[in-house]
Amino acid sequence: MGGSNIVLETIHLAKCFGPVRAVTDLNLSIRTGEVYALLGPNGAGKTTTLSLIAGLLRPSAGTIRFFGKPGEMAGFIGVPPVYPHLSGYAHLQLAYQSRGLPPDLKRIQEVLMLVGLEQAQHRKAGTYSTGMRQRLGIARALLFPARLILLDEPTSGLDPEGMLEVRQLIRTLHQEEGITILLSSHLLGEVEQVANRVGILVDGQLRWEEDLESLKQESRLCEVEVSEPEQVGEAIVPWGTVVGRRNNRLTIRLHPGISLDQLNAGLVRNGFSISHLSRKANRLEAAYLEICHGIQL
Amino acid sequence: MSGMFILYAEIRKYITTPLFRILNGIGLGLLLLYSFLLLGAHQVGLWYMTAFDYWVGSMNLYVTNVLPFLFPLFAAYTCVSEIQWRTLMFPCFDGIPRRAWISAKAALAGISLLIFTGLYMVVAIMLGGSLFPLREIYLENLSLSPGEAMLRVAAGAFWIGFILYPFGLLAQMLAILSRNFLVGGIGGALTFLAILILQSSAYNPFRPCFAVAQQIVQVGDLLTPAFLALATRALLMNLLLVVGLLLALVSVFEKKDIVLE
Repeated sequence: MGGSNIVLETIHLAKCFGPVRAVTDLNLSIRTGEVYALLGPNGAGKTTTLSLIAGLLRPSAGTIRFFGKPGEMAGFIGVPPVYPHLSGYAHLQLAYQSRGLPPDLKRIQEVLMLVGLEQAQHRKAGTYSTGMRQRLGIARALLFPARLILLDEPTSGLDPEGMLEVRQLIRTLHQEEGITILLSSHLLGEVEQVANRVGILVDGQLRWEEDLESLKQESRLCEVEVSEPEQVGEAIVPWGTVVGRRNNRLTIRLHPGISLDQLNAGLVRNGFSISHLSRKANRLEAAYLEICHGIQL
Repeated sequence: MSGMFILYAEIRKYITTPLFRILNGIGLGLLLLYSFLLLGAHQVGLWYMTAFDYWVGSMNLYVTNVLPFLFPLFAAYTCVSEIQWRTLMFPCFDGIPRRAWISAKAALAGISLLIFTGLYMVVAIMLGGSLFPLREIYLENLSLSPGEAMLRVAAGAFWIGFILYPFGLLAQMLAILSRNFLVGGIGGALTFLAILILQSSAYNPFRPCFAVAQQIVQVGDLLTPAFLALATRALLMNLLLVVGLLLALVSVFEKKDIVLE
Protein backbone atom coordinates (compact mmCIF):
# COMPACT_ATOMS: atom_id res chain seq x y z
CA MET A 1 0.00 0.00 0.00
CA GLY A 2 1.14 3.49 -0.73
CA GLY A 3 4.30 2.89 -2.73
CA SER A 4 6.86 5.65 -2.82
CA ASN A 5 5.37 7.19 -5.96
CA ILE A 6 1.93 7.53 -4.42
CA VAL A 7 1.11 10.92 -2.91
CA LEU A 8 -2.41 10.21 -1.81
CA GLU A 9 -4.75 7.28 -1.68
CA THR A 10 -8.28 6.75 -0.55
CA ILE A 11 -9.37 3.31 0.54
CA HIS A 12 -13.07 2.43 0.47
CA LEU A 13 -13.84 6.06 1.18
CA ALA A 14 -17.50 6.87 1.79
CA LYS A 15 -19.46 9.91 2.87
CA CYS A 16 -23.15 10.05 3.67
CA PHE A 17 -25.23 13.13 4.42
CA GLY A 18 -28.18 11.58 6.21
CA PRO A 19 -29.73 9.12 3.75
CA VAL A 20 -27.80 10.58 0.80
CA ARG A 21 -24.63 8.76 -0.23
CA ALA A 22 -22.40 11.46 -1.66
CA VAL A 23 -19.33 9.22 -2.05
CA THR A 24 -19.36 5.44 -2.12
CA ASP A 25 -16.45 3.01 -1.81
CA LEU A 26 -13.97 5.33 -3.49
CA ASN A 27 -10.49 3.96 -4.12
CA LEU A 28 -8.15 6.53 -5.63
CA SER A 29 -4.37 6.61 -5.96
CA ILE A 30 -2.68 9.82 -6.99
CA ARG A 31 0.87 9.35 -8.26
CA THR A 32 3.73 11.80 -7.81
CA GLY A 33 4.01 14.34 -10.60
CA GLU A 34 0.71 13.68 -12.32
CA VAL A 35 -2.31 15.87 -12.93
CA TYR A 36 -5.30 13.76 -12.02
CA ALA A 37 -8.71 15.07 -13.02
CA LEU A 38 -11.91 14.01 -11.33
CA LEU A 39 -14.58 14.40 -13.95
CA GLY A 40 -18.30 14.14 -13.44
CA PRO A 41 -21.62 15.92 -13.77
CA ASN A 42 -22.91 18.30 -11.10
CA GLY A 43 -23.70 16.40 -7.90
CA ALA A 44 -21.39 13.50 -8.79
CA GLY A 45 -19.41 13.89 -5.56
CA LYS A 46 -16.30 15.68 -6.85
CA THR A 47 -16.34 18.54 -4.36
CA THR A 48 -17.29 16.17 -1.53
CA THR A 49 -14.31 13.99 -2.41
CA LEU A 50 -11.93 16.95 -2.40
CA SER A 51 -13.44 18.25 0.85
CA LEU A 52 -12.86 14.83 2.45
CA ILE A 53 -9.26 14.81 1.28
CA ALA A 54 -8.69 18.37 2.53
CA GLY A 55 -10.11 17.42 5.95
CA LEU A 56 -13.13 19.69 5.83
CA LEU A 57 -15.50 16.73 5.98
CA ARG A 58 -15.17 13.66 8.17
CA PRO A 59 -15.47 10.35 6.26
CA SER A 60 -18.44 8.11 7.09
CA ALA A 61 -16.23 5.12 6.27
CA GLY A 62 -12.87 4.34 4.73
CA THR A 63 -9.44 5.88 4.98
CA ILE A 64 -7.49 8.72 3.39
CA ARG A 65 -3.72 8.40 3.34
CA PHE A 66 -1.63 11.42 2.46
CA PHE A 67 2.03 10.59 2.11
CA GLY A 68 3.26 13.99 3.14
CA LYS A 69 3.59 16.14 6.23
CA PRO A 70 0.73 18.28 7.54
CA GLY A 71 0.63 21.47 5.53
CA GLU A 72 2.14 19.89 2.40
CA MET A 73 -1.27 19.78 0.78
CA ALA A 74 -2.48 23.05 -0.69
CA GLY A 75 -5.26 24.37 -2.87
CA PHE A 76 -8.89 25.35 -2.59
CA ILE A 77 -12.39 23.96 -2.82
CA GLY A 78 -14.84 25.94 -4.96
CA VAL A 79 -14.24 29.66 -5.43
CA PRO A 80 -11.07 30.47 -3.48
CA PRO A 81 -11.95 32.09 -0.16
CA VAL A 82 -10.74 35.52 0.87
CA TYR A 83 -10.91 37.77 3.90
CA PRO A 84 -12.77 40.64 2.23
CA HIS A 85 -11.22 43.37 4.41
CA LEU A 86 -7.61 42.29 3.88
CA SER A 87 -5.37 42.86 0.87
CA GLY A 88 -4.05 40.06 -1.30
CA TYR A 89 -0.60 40.73 0.11
CA ALA A 90 -1.90 40.45 3.69
CA HIS A 91 -3.43 37.08 2.81
CA LEU A 92 -0.04 35.70 1.88
CA GLN A 93 1.59 37.19 4.98
CA LEU A 94 -1.12 35.60 7.12
CA ALA A 95 -0.48 32.24 5.46
CA TYR A 96 3.03 32.33 6.90
CA GLN A 97 1.92 33.57 10.32
CA SER A 98 -0.76 30.86 10.59
CA ARG A 99 1.97 28.27 10.12
CA GLY A 100 4.16 29.90 12.73
CA LEU A 101 6.67 31.22 10.18
CA PRO A 102 7.99 34.73 9.56
CA PRO A 103 6.70 36.00 6.18
CA ASP A 104 9.16 35.47 3.33
CA LEU A 105 8.58 38.74 1.50
CA LYS A 106 10.69 37.71 -1.49
CA ARG A 107 8.70 34.52 -2.02
CA ILE A 108 5.45 36.45 -1.65
CA GLN A 109 6.51 38.80 -4.46
CA GLU A 110 7.60 35.85 -6.59
CA VAL A 111 4.26 34.07 -6.40
CA LEU A 112 2.32 37.31 -6.85
CA MET A 113 4.29 37.88 -10.03
CA LEU A 114 3.81 34.27 -11.15
CA VAL A 115 0.02 34.55 -10.90
CA GLY A 116 -0.06 38.12 -12.22
CA LEU A 117 -1.38 39.84 -9.10
CA GLU A 118 1.52 42.15 -8.35
CA GLN A 119 -0.41 45.26 -9.45
CA ALA A 120 -3.45 44.46 -7.28
CA GLN A 121 -1.60 43.07 -4.25
CA HIS A 122 -2.53 45.98 -1.94
CA ARG A 123 -6.19 46.14 -2.93
CA LYS A 124 -8.75 44.65 -0.54
CA ALA A 125 -9.45 41.09 -1.65
CA GLY A 126 -13.19 41.74 -1.30
CA THR A 127 -12.94 43.88 -4.43
CA TYR A 128 -11.21 41.14 -6.47
CA SER A 129 -12.95 39.53 -9.44
CA THR A 130 -13.46 35.76 -9.49
CA GLY A 131 -10.41 35.40 -11.70
CA MET A 132 -8.25 37.39 -9.30
CA ARG A 133 -9.50 35.29 -6.40
CA GLN A 134 -8.58 32.14 -8.33
CA ARG A 135 -5.11 33.55 -8.86
CA LEU A 136 -4.78 34.56 -5.21
CA GLY A 137 -5.89 31.04 -4.22
CA ILE A 138 -3.24 29.54 -6.48
CA ALA A 139 -0.65 32.02 -5.16
CA ARG A 140 -1.40 30.91 -1.61
CA ALA A 141 -1.09 27.28 -2.67
CA LEU A 142 2.31 28.01 -4.20
CA LEU A 143 3.85 29.79 -1.21
CA PHE A 144 5.09 26.62 0.42
CA PRO A 145 6.55 23.45 -1.08
CA ALA A 146 3.48 21.30 -1.65
CA ARG A 147 3.36 17.57 -2.37
CA LEU A 148 -0.19 17.87 -3.64
CA ILE A 149 -2.36 20.73 -4.83
CA LEU A 150 -6.14 20.30 -4.85
CA LEU A 151 -8.07 22.51 -7.25
CA ASP A 152 -11.84 22.31 -7.35
CA GLU A 153 -13.15 23.50 -10.72
CA PRO A 154 -10.30 25.98 -11.02
CA THR A 155 -11.71 27.78 -14.06
CA SER A 156 -15.29 27.95 -12.86
CA GLY A 157 -16.77 31.42 -13.21
CA LEU A 158 -13.89 32.77 -15.26
CA ASP A 159 -14.07 34.54 -18.61
CA PRO A 160 -12.32 32.84 -21.57
CA GLU A 161 -9.08 34.76 -21.01
CA GLY A 162 -9.12 33.89 -17.33
CA MET A 163 -9.72 30.21 -18.13
CA LEU A 164 -6.81 30.24 -20.52
CA GLU A 165 -4.54 31.85 -17.93
CA VAL A 166 -5.44 29.39 -15.18
CA ARG A 167 -4.99 26.39 -17.50
CA GLN A 168 -1.62 27.74 -18.53
CA LEU A 169 -0.73 28.19 -14.87
CA ILE A 170 -1.70 24.59 -14.09
CA ARG A 171 0.44 23.35 -16.98
CA THR A 172 3.35 25.49 -15.76
CA LEU A 173 3.02 24.15 -12.22
CA HIS A 174 3.02 20.60 -13.49
CA GLN A 175 5.66 20.83 -16.20
CA GLU A 176 8.10 23.32 -14.66
CA GLU A 177 7.62 22.85 -10.93
CA GLY A 178 6.71 19.14 -11.10
CA ILE A 179 3.80 19.59 -8.69
CA THR A 180 1.22 16.86 -8.31
CA ILE A 181 -2.27 18.20 -8.88
CA LEU A 182 -5.67 16.72 -8.18
CA LEU A 183 -8.39 18.77 -9.81
CA SER A 184 -12.08 18.41 -10.39
CA SER A 185 -13.91 19.65 -13.41
CA HIS A 186 -16.90 19.03 -15.59
CA LEU A 187 -15.23 20.59 -18.61
CA LEU A 188 -13.98 17.80 -20.88
CA GLY A 189 -11.87 20.07 -23.05
CA GLU A 190 -10.12 21.51 -20.02
CA VAL A 191 -9.36 18.08 -18.62
CA GLU A 192 -7.96 16.91 -21.96
CA GLN A 193 -5.67 19.91 -22.04
CA VAL A 194 -4.21 19.73 -18.54
CA ALA A 195 -4.60 16.21 -17.10
CA ASN A 196 -2.56 13.03 -17.42
CA ARG A 197 -5.10 10.76 -15.81
CA VAL A 198 -8.85 10.98 -15.50
CA GLY A 199 -11.39 9.40 -13.20
CA ILE A 200 -15.10 9.73 -13.89
CA LEU A 201 -17.32 9.98 -10.84
CA VAL A 202 -21.02 9.28 -11.12
CA ASP A 203 -23.32 9.26 -8.09
CA GLY A 204 -20.32 9.22 -5.79
CA GLN A 205 -18.75 6.17 -7.39
CA LEU A 206 -15.59 6.02 -9.47
CA ARG A 207 -16.97 4.42 -12.62
CA TRP A 208 -13.97 4.75 -14.89
CA GLU A 209 -10.31 5.66 -14.65
CA GLU A 210 -7.81 5.94 -17.45
CA ASP A 211 -4.52 7.42 -18.55
CA LEU A 212 -5.31 10.07 -21.13
CA GLU A 213 -2.35 9.02 -23.27
CA SER A 214 -3.36 5.37 -23.38
CA LEU A 215 -6.93 6.48 -23.95
CA LYS A 216 -5.80 8.22 -27.10
CA GLN A 217 -4.14 4.99 -28.24
CA GLU A 218 -7.13 2.89 -27.38
CA SER A 219 -9.78 5.03 -29.02
CA ARG A 220 -12.40 2.90 -30.75
CA LEU A 221 -13.93 5.73 -32.75
CA CYS A 222 -12.48 6.53 -36.17
CA GLU A 223 -13.32 8.58 -39.21
CA VAL A 224 -13.22 7.16 -42.74
CA GLU A 225 -13.73 8.92 -46.02
CA VAL A 226 -14.63 6.45 -48.80
CA SER A 227 -15.95 6.51 -52.35
CA GLU A 228 -19.30 4.75 -51.72
CA PRO A 229 -20.16 5.39 -48.08
CA GLU A 230 -23.71 4.01 -48.22
CA GLN A 231 -22.35 0.52 -48.89
CA VAL A 232 -19.82 0.52 -46.08
CA GLY A 233 -22.28 -0.34 -43.30
CA GLU A 234 -22.79 -4.00 -44.29
CA ALA A 235 -19.24 -4.52 -45.51
CA ILE A 236 -17.55 -3.62 -42.22
CA VAL A 237 -19.75 -5.72 -39.89
CA PRO A 238 -16.78 -7.93 -38.82
CA TRP A 239 -14.70 -4.89 -37.75
CA GLY A 240 -17.07 -2.21 -36.53
CA THR A 241 -20.32 -0.25 -36.79
CA VAL A 242 -21.11 2.99 -38.57
CA VAL A 243 -22.32 5.48 -35.93
CA GLY A 244 -22.38 8.71 -37.95
CA ARG A 245 -22.08 10.15 -41.42
CA ARG A 246 -21.42 13.56 -42.93
CA ASN A 247 -21.23 13.49 -46.80
CA ASN A 248 -18.58 10.90 -47.63
CA ARG A 249 -17.10 10.90 -44.15
CA LEU A 250 -18.24 8.12 -41.80
CA THR A 251 -17.70 7.77 -38.07
CA ILE A 252 -17.10 4.12 -37.21
CA ARG A 253 -16.91 2.50 -33.77
CA LEU A 254 -14.50 -0.42 -33.94
CA HIS A 255 -15.30 -3.68 -32.20
CA PRO A 256 -13.08 -4.34 -29.16
CA GLY A 257 -9.63 -5.60 -30.21
CA ILE A 258 -9.94 -4.40 -33.79
CA SER A 259 -7.17 -2.07 -34.96
CA LEU A 260 -7.27 0.72 -37.50
CA ASP A 261 -5.03 -1.38 -39.80
CA GLN A 262 -7.48 -4.28 -39.73
CA LEU A 263 -10.35 -1.96 -40.68
CA ASN A 264 -8.24 -0.45 -43.44
CA ALA A 265 -7.39 -3.91 -44.83
CA GLY A 266 -11.03 -5.01 -44.64
CA LEU A 267 -12.26 -1.95 -46.54
CA VAL A 268 -9.60 -2.35 -49.23
CA ARG A 269 -10.42 -6.06 -49.59
CA ASN A 270 -14.06 -5.09 -50.14
CA GLY A 271 -13.05 -2.74 -52.94
CA PHE A 272 -13.55 0.63 -51.25
CA SER A 273 -11.31 3.51 -52.20
CA ILE A 274 -10.17 5.24 -49.00
CA SER A 275 -9.15 8.90 -49.08
CA HIS A 276 -8.97 9.48 -45.29
CA LEU A 277 -8.73 7.24 -42.24
CA SER A 278 -8.00 8.47 -38.69
CA ARG A 279 -8.90 7.98 -35.06
CA LYS A 280 -11.57 10.38 -33.85
CA ALA A 281 -10.26 12.90 -31.36
CA ASN A 282 -13.09 13.13 -28.81
CA ARG A 283 -12.48 9.85 -26.98
CA LEU A 284 -12.92 11.35 -23.54
CA GLU A 285 -16.21 12.85 -24.56
CA ALA A 286 -17.34 9.45 -25.83
CA ALA A 287 -16.33 7.75 -22.59
CA TYR A 288 -17.93 10.48 -20.50
CA LEU A 289 -21.24 10.40 -22.35
CA GLU A 290 -21.37 6.62 -22.25
CA ILE A 291 -20.57 6.41 -18.53
CA CYS A 292 -22.57 9.37 -17.31
CA HIS A 293 -25.54 9.31 -19.64
CA GLY A 294 -25.44 5.91 -21.39
CA ILE A 295 -25.07 7.62 -24.78
CA GLN A 296 -22.91 5.75 -27.29
CA LEU A 297 -21.27 7.82 -29.99
CA MET B 1 4.79 28.40 20.26
CA SER B 2 2.91 27.88 16.99
CA GLY B 3 -0.29 28.44 18.99
CA MET B 4 0.90 32.00 19.65
CA PHE B 5 1.45 32.55 15.93
CA ILE B 6 -2.04 31.26 15.12
CA LEU B 7 -3.44 33.60 17.76
CA TYR B 8 -1.44 36.51 16.37
CA ALA B 9 -2.83 35.79 12.89
CA GLU B 10 -6.36 35.61 14.31
CA ILE B 11 -5.95 38.95 16.10
CA ARG B 12 -4.60 40.55 12.94
CA LYS B 13 -7.58 39.26 10.96
CA TYR B 14 -10.32 40.32 13.33
CA ILE B 15 -9.12 43.56 14.91
CA THR B 16 -9.23 45.02 11.40
CA THR B 17 -12.79 43.91 10.61
CA PRO B 18 -15.44 46.62 10.17
CA LEU B 19 -17.64 44.82 12.73
CA PHE B 20 -15.02 45.14 15.45
CA ARG B 21 -14.77 48.87 14.82
CA ILE B 22 -18.54 49.29 14.68
CA LEU B 23 -19.11 47.42 17.97
CA ASN B 24 -16.43 49.45 19.72
CA GLY B 25 -17.93 52.57 18.16
CA ILE B 26 -21.36 51.70 19.58
CA GLY B 27 -19.92 51.45 23.08
CA LEU B 28 -17.98 54.70 22.79
CA GLY B 29 -20.92 56.48 21.16
CA LEU B 30 -23.17 55.51 24.06
CA LEU B 31 -20.51 56.67 26.49
CA LEU B 32 -20.35 60.07 24.84
CA LEU B 33 -24.13 60.38 24.93
CA TYR B 34 -24.19 59.33 28.59
CA SER B 35 -21.42 61.82 29.41
CA PHE B 36 -23.23 64.63 27.61
CA LEU B 37 -26.46 64.00 29.51
CA LEU B 38 -24.76 63.70 32.89
CA LEU B 39 -22.61 66.76 32.31
CA GLY B 40 -25.73 68.73 31.41
CA ALA B 41 -27.48 67.58 34.57
CA HIS B 42 -24.37 68.35 36.60
CA GLN B 43 -23.92 71.83 35.10
CA VAL B 44 -27.50 72.96 35.74
CA GLY B 45 -27.30 71.65 39.30
CA LEU B 46 -29.86 68.91 38.73
CA TRP B 47 -27.50 66.19 39.76
CA TYR B 48 -24.21 66.58 41.54
CA MET B 49 -21.66 64.03 40.42
CA THR B 50 -18.06 63.17 41.20
CA ALA B 51 -15.74 61.41 38.80
CA PHE B 52 -16.20 58.21 40.83
CA ASP B 53 -20.00 58.35 40.43
CA TYR B 54 -19.54 58.85 36.71
CA TRP B 55 -17.11 55.95 36.44
CA VAL B 56 -19.39 53.56 38.32
CA GLY B 57 -22.39 54.69 36.28
CA SER B 58 -20.63 54.38 32.94
CA MET B 59 -19.20 51.00 33.93
CA ASN B 60 -22.63 49.70 34.87
CA LEU B 61 -24.12 51.07 31.69
CA TYR B 62 -21.58 49.28 29.53
CA VAL B 63 -20.57 46.03 31.19
CA THR B 64 -24.03 44.97 32.29
CA ASN B 65 -26.20 46.40 29.51
CA VAL B 66 -24.17 46.81 26.32
CA LEU B 67 -21.15 44.51 26.46
CA PRO B 68 -23.27 41.37 27.12
CA PHE B 69 -24.70 41.90 23.62
CA LEU B 70 -21.64 43.19 21.80
CA PHE B 71 -19.16 40.61 23.04
CA PRO B 72 -21.11 37.37 22.34
CA LEU B 73 -22.02 38.74 18.92
CA PHE B 74 -18.40 39.38 18.10
CA ALA B 75 -17.28 36.04 19.58
CA ALA B 76 -19.84 34.22 17.42
CA TYR B 77 -18.80 36.27 14.40
CA THR B 78 -15.16 35.15 14.73
CA CYS B 79 -16.30 31.59 14.01
CA VAL B 80 -19.22 32.03 11.60
CA SER B 81 -17.46 34.58 9.40
CA GLU B 82 -14.87 31.93 8.52
CA ILE B 83 -17.70 29.69 7.29
CA GLN B 84 -19.30 32.54 5.34
CA TRP B 85 -16.02 33.67 3.81
CA ARG B 86 -15.12 29.98 3.30
CA THR B 87 -11.72 30.73 4.81
CA LEU B 88 -12.11 27.82 7.20
CA MET B 89 -10.45 25.73 4.53
CA PHE B 90 -7.16 27.60 5.09
CA PRO B 91 -6.33 25.96 8.44
CA CYS B 92 -7.28 22.58 6.97
CA PHE B 93 -4.78 23.00 4.14
CA ASP B 94 -2.19 24.60 6.42
CA GLY B 95 -2.21 21.45 8.54
CA ILE B 96 -3.40 23.29 11.64
CA PRO B 97 -5.22 20.85 13.93
CA ARG B 98 -8.84 21.77 14.50
CA ARG B 99 -8.23 21.79 18.25
CA ALA B 100 -5.51 24.44 17.88
CA TRP B 101 -7.63 26.54 15.58
CA ILE B 102 -10.73 26.59 17.78
CA SER B 103 -8.59 27.22 20.86
CA ALA B 104 -7.13 30.25 19.08
CA LYS B 105 -10.69 31.43 18.42
CA ALA B 106 -11.52 31.08 22.11
CA ALA B 107 -8.38 33.03 23.03
CA LEU B 108 -9.24 35.64 20.41
CA ALA B 109 -12.64 36.07 22.08
CA GLY B 110 -10.88 36.71 25.39
CA ILE B 111 -8.54 39.25 23.85
CA SER B 112 -11.39 41.02 22.07
CA LEU B 113 -13.22 41.20 25.42
CA LEU B 114 -10.17 42.80 26.99
CA ILE B 115 -10.03 45.35 24.17
CA PHE B 116 -13.78 46.08 24.31
CA THR B 117 -13.61 46.63 28.06
CA GLY B 118 -10.21 48.28 28.17
CA LEU B 119 -10.86 50.79 25.41
CA TYR B 120 -14.20 51.78 26.90
CA MET B 121 -12.85 52.10 30.42
CA VAL B 122 -9.82 54.15 29.35
CA VAL B 123 -12.09 56.63 27.56
CA ALA B 124 -14.59 56.61 30.45
CA ILE B 125 -11.85 57.25 33.02
CA MET B 126 -10.38 60.07 30.98
CA LEU B 127 -13.78 61.67 30.41
CA GLY B 128 -14.79 61.27 34.05
CA GLY B 129 -11.52 62.76 35.26
CA SER B 130 -11.76 65.76 32.96
CA LEU B 131 -15.51 66.49 33.18
CA PHE B 132 -16.30 65.84 36.85
CA PRO B 133 -14.61 66.70 40.17
CA LEU B 134 -11.94 64.29 41.27
CA ARG B 135 -12.56 63.81 44.98
CA GLU B 136 -11.52 61.22 47.45
CA ILE B 137 -14.35 58.85 48.25
CA TYR B 138 -15.43 56.98 51.33
CA LEU B 139 -16.35 53.33 51.12
CA GLU B 140 -17.59 52.23 54.50
CA ASN B 141 -14.96 53.68 56.81
CA LEU B 142 -12.14 53.70 54.31
CA SER B 143 -11.03 56.77 52.37
CA LEU B 144 -9.86 56.14 48.79
CA SER B 145 -7.91 58.57 46.65
CA PRO B 146 -9.27 59.29 43.15
CA GLY B 147 -6.57 57.01 41.71
CA GLU B 148 -7.58 54.14 43.99
CA ALA B 149 -11.23 54.73 43.19
CA MET B 150 -10.44 54.61 39.51
CA LEU B 151 -8.60 51.30 39.92
CA ARG B 152 -11.56 49.86 41.84
CA VAL B 153 -13.95 50.72 39.02
CA ALA B 154 -11.61 49.33 36.39
CA ALA B 155 -11.19 46.15 38.43
CA GLY B 156 -14.98 45.85 38.71
CA ALA B 157 -15.37 46.25 34.94
CA PHE B 158 -12.74 43.63 34.15
CA TRP B 159 -14.21 41.27 36.73
CA ILE B 160 -17.62 41.46 35.05
CA GLY B 161 -15.82 40.93 31.75
CA PHE B 162 -14.33 37.78 33.24
CA ILE B 163 -17.83 36.57 34.22
CA LEU B 164 -18.99 37.34 30.69
CA TYR B 165 -16.18 35.42 28.96
CA PRO B 166 -17.70 31.91 29.16
CA PHE B 167 -20.84 33.27 27.49
CA GLY B 168 -18.67 34.24 24.54
CA LEU B 169 -17.52 30.62 24.35
CA LEU B 170 -21.16 29.55 24.52
CA ALA B 171 -21.93 31.97 21.69
CA GLN B 172 -19.11 30.47 19.61
CA MET B 173 -20.42 26.96 20.17
CA LEU B 174 -24.00 27.93 19.29
CA ALA B 175 -22.72 29.77 16.23
CA ILE B 176 -20.80 26.75 14.97
CA LEU B 177 -23.80 24.51 15.51
CA SER B 178 -26.28 26.91 13.91
CA ARG B 179 -23.87 28.43 11.36
CA ASN B 180 -25.42 31.79 12.25
CA PHE B 181 -23.67 34.46 14.30
CA LEU B 182 -26.91 36.15 15.36
CA VAL B 183 -28.19 32.88 16.85
CA GLY B 184 -24.87 32.36 18.61
CA GLY B 185 -24.53 35.96 19.76
CA ILE B 186 -28.08 36.42 20.96
CA GLY B 187 -28.06 32.96 22.57
CA GLY B 188 -24.93 33.83 24.55
CA ALA B 189 -26.22 37.29 25.45
CA LEU B 190 -29.64 36.15 26.63
CA THR B 191 -28.14 33.38 28.77
CA PHE B 192 -25.87 35.91 30.46
CA LEU B 193 -28.72 38.39 30.97
CA ALA B 194 -30.91 35.67 32.50
CA ILE B 195 -28.15 34.90 34.98
CA LEU B 196 -27.59 38.60 35.62
CA ILE B 197 -31.28 39.23 36.31
CA LEU B 198 -31.41 36.24 38.65
CA GLN B 199 -28.18 37.21 40.41
CA SER B 200 -29.80 37.60 43.79
CA SER B 201 -31.49 34.19 43.64
CA ALA B 202 -30.10 31.73 46.18
CA TYR B 203 -30.03 29.04 43.48
CA ASN B 204 -27.98 31.07 41.01
CA PRO B 205 -24.51 29.50 40.89
CA PHE B 206 -23.14 32.82 39.64
CA ARG B 207 -24.25 34.66 42.75
CA PRO B 208 -20.72 34.83 44.23
CA CYS B 209 -19.36 36.18 40.92
CA PHE B 210 -21.77 39.12 40.89
CA ALA B 211 -21.33 39.67 44.62
CA VAL B 212 -17.58 40.11 44.07
CA ALA B 213 -18.23 42.71 41.35
CA GLN B 214 -20.51 44.68 43.65
CA GLN B 215 -18.17 44.51 46.62
CA ILE B 216 -15.19 45.75 44.59
CA VAL B 217 -16.89 49.16 44.26
CA GLN B 218 -18.90 49.16 47.48
CA VAL B 219 -16.74 47.64 50.22
CA GLY B 220 -13.91 49.56 51.83
CA ASP B 221 -11.41 46.90 52.82
CA LEU B 222 -11.13 44.08 50.28
CA LEU B 223 -8.45 42.17 52.14
CA THR B 224 -10.83 40.55 54.58
CA PRO B 225 -11.03 36.74 54.87
CA ALA B 226 -14.73 36.87 53.94
CA PHE B 227 -14.13 38.75 50.71
CA LEU B 228 -11.10 36.66 49.75
CA ALA B 229 -13.10 33.44 50.29
CA LEU B 230 -15.93 34.80 48.20
CA ALA B 231 -13.56 35.89 45.43
CA THR B 232 -11.79 32.50 45.43
CA ARG B 233 -15.11 30.66 45.18
CA ALA B 234 -16.24 32.93 42.34
CA LEU B 235 -12.92 32.58 40.54
CA LEU B 236 -12.95 28.78 40.73
CA MET B 237 -16.59 28.62 39.69
CA ASN B 238 -15.97 30.77 36.62
CA LEU B 239 -12.74 28.99 35.70
CA LEU B 240 -14.55 25.67 35.91
CA LEU B 241 -17.20 26.98 33.57
CA VAL B 242 -14.57 28.31 31.15
CA VAL B 243 -12.73 24.98 31.05
CA GLY B 244 -15.98 23.02 30.64
CA LEU B 245 -17.19 25.21 27.80
CA LEU B 246 -13.79 25.19 26.13
CA LEU B 247 -13.73 21.39 26.17
CA ALA B 248 -17.29 21.29 24.81
CA LEU B 249 -16.37 23.79 22.09
CA VAL B 250 -13.34 21.74 21.00
CA SER B 251 -15.34 18.53 21.08
CA VAL B 252 -18.18 19.98 18.99
CA PHE B 253 -15.81 21.41 16.42
CA GLU B 254 -13.59 18.34 16.12
CA LYS B 255 -16.50 16.08 15.16
CA LYS B 256 -18.28 18.50 12.92
CA ASP B 257 -18.22 18.48 9.13
CA ILE B 258 -17.15 21.85 7.82
CA VAL B 259 -19.67 22.67 5.12
CA LEU B 260 -18.73 26.02 3.65
CA GLU B 261 -21.22 28.51 2.18
